[in-house]
Amino acid sequence: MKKIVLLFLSLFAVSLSSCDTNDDDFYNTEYVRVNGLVNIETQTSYAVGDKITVNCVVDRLVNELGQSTPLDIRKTTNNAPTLTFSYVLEKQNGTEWVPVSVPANQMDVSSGQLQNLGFYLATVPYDTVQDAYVFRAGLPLLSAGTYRLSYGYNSEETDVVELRSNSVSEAITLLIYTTSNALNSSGFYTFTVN
Amino acid sequence: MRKLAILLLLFSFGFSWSQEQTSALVNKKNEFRVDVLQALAYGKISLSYERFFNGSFSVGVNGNFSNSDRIEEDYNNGFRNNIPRYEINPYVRYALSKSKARYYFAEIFASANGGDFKEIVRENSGGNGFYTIKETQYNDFALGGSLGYKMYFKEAFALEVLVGFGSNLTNKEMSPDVISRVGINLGYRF
Repeated sequence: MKKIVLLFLSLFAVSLSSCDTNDDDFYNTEYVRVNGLVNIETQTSYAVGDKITVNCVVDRLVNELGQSTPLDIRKTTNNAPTLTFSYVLEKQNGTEWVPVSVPANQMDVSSGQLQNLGFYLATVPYDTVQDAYVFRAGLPLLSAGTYRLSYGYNSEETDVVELRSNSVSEAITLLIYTTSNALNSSGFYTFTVN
Repeated sequence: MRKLAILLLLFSFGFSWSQEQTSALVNKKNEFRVDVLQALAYGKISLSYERFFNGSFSVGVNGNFSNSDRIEEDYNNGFRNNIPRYEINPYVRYALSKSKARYYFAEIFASANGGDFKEIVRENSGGNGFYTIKETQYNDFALGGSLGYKMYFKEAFALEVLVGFGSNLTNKEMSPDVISRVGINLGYRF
């Protein structure tokens, strides 16, 4: 009888902690692959005072890898107002890489928004005239040295950029895996400021 | 939750104020129950009927019907991809204790269950593709087992604690993997 009591209590404890049969996946999210949506505006050389500029243009219709028809992002996301992605700018200090923190008033944002949260969070708004999501922002390079830019801050991936739609809660959230130019095999764009 | 745990511990360790009522209960062969835990915690209506035989066996059927706002909200917000709407659970029980007034029991049960299911599908319109949420209904069949404890008051009123799990067998892509039979039931035996 003692064994029965112990078994019963164990089962009840387990059930109270985990009787919910939900899986933990986010069932309103769709993952797609569309290459070449983010671009670093590279220069052959950089001087102090120059900017490192990143842009992102996502047309309403994009070529989804593995599909024969263009993907309508607006229709899929029920007209999500923005997309977001993140990146990090670091400067070499001896053997270490230190994040470069640029104040908001020194950012050169010509389209969208850029927030410094320890990494840079880029918000890519939908532009009705261009019928596309458009972002462009430059960060000033305030001192000489070796820098690198990468996109993997919120991700395990090094060679892809994750663009996420800010859809309303009941609509589909689209997670677009895309690529950026100029990255090396480790996922960094490394450059020197003279 | 703490109150519930204390309550269960008291029952499980036998701090019972019920009295031996064996003779009267033996002659009462039928029982109806309602699950108060499922009603309060999950907004689920759970009703049971049990038929007692001479000896230690009994059989019964349990019906669950769910219409929880919380589960509906989780479903709409994408935290789950199905909503169980109904379960019909026939079961066979075996009393593990000799007392008829309070005893542990084991049961095996089957479950015919179903509900709503959603998935994201890619569709085409006007030469362009888009993803959309498609909703369908699912039905499945499960087998499982439970353990429980039951006690009677005034030779008729039952309090039952039940813990059990079953596994869906035929439509796991849509249905929940696990069917749980967890409840605190109040019943009347006649």
